[in-house]
Amino acid sequence: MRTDIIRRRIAYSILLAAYAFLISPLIVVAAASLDTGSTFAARFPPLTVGLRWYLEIPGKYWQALSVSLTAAAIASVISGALGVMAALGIVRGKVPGTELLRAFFRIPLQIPLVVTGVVFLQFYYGFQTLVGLELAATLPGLIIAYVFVGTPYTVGTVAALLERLSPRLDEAAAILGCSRWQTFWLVTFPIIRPSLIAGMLYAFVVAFGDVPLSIFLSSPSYTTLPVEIFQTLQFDFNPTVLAVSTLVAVMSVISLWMIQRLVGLDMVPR
Amino acid sequence: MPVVASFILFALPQYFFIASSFHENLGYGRIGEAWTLANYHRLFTDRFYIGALVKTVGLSAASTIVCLIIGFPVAYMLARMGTRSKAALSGLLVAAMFVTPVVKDLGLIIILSQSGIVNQTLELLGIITGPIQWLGAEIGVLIGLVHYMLPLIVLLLATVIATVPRSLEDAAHAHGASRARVYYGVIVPIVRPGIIAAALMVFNLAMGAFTTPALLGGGRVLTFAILIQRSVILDVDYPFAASLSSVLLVTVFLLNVLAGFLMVRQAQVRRGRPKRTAPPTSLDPAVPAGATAAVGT
Repeated sequence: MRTDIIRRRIAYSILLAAYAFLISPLIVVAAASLDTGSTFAARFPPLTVGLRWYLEIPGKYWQALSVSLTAAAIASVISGALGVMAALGIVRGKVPGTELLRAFFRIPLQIPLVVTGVVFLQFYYGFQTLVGLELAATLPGLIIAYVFVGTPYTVGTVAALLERLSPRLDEAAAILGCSRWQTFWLVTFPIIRPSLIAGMLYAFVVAFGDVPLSIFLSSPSYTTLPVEIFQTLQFDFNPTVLAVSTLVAVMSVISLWMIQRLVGLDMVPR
Repeated sequence: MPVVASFILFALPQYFFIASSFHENLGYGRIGEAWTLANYHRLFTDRFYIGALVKTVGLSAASTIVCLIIGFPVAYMLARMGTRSKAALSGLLVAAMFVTPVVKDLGLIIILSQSGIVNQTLELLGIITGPIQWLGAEIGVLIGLVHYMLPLIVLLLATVIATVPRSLEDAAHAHGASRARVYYGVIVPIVRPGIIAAALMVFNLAMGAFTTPALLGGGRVLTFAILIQRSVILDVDYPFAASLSSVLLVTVFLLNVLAGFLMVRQAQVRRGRPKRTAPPTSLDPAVPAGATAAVGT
């Protein structure tokens, strides 16, 4: 029995070490952001504690944050709508080759985001010479690219739920006199709503945190927050980046927690 | 109709991009008319690019293996936990996954820097005499990639392991199997397809990872994703970026096909042996599309 106790201790220390490894960077960033003395490099553990860098966050970060939030939010809504339509088509549709369709909607996940980014940039330049409409480094340009990478998530989550749903529900609604439109809004939609929100959340998170795609589709004057942070880290470190990063991390965790509370997200991606 | 429309939207830009890899770069983003293999010739004759490809595959494979070694015990414990602590711990994993990679990389940079806590601790313990250069080296990128992929692989493996009924383990124990035998004789064979699926997913993710190698590699560890970005941003050479991209895509695809082939072969070999029962391949976790790394690179 003694070996059992030792074994359990080893198991728990592995668990603890893995979690410490995963969480420590976030804690370090948050702690270092409170140090008021450092100007050239981040200092951990902090020597002095204050909110100096939070008050000095330059306007470019706020601007980038609003670009990120707007683009990611609009894109996740569009991805949600497209995802529901595509999932209904794949699961309920009577078209042949639904398996192929499903594989097709997974394609964006198989392509590295850097490649997707270059493809969109080149596509936007071509579009501009053809139609004269500029899409690179604009809000619509970012949104289109985010919809491209976000839709697979909404299709995936909604289709997974629709498959487990009995078509008899629809028949019952029809017998009770619902039109197809009413059936969708009164029966199907309320059932798929949690998985739709989960899929939209993934789409949002991917878009909001993305660097490799956005780095091509932004310009120095029009950029997203992760790209702005990325450039700061690569070229000119500034302690305010610690404050911004902490805010982003806190925001992500709070919104995740709130949504989990609201819809009772299944924590495992599906 | 919507299918056709989305197909055009999805596929056409990809086609033009890949097609451009067969044309000459004329500078300033202009592309020559004539078809040529010059870009591929340059890529395959320059040892620098071959080396970068080998390095990308090596780093991805190494980080996948490390992820499996750390991730499997963690996933096992997670799968065998009570509902409440399981929910809390997997919630933490999802939270770690959802924070944008740039922020996590910033934290890792602080931790692994010359005077960071890792170097300080190691020096204090007398393990090293001078600080180790983690950043700007393969080891730093490896740590970053493991950090980036670990939450995902734990979640994936935990779902698979949860499908193995506990009674199977108890039965093996009752028949006198040691703990290690239960692991490698009972659990691993059953979940092997799931492990391979999860490992492939994480491997593919690492092959295309950009942010982490860029930040932790400090411009000195050049993976394929970084080379693609550089050839567009610095050299404005779309055709070459396109050929790099298609080589990366084809490599990933071939390695996946190879893995699938080996998996089928192994299953056949196993089935051929009458004494042992074939692993139930139906236990494939049906790893869903939505799970591919909820956080892009």
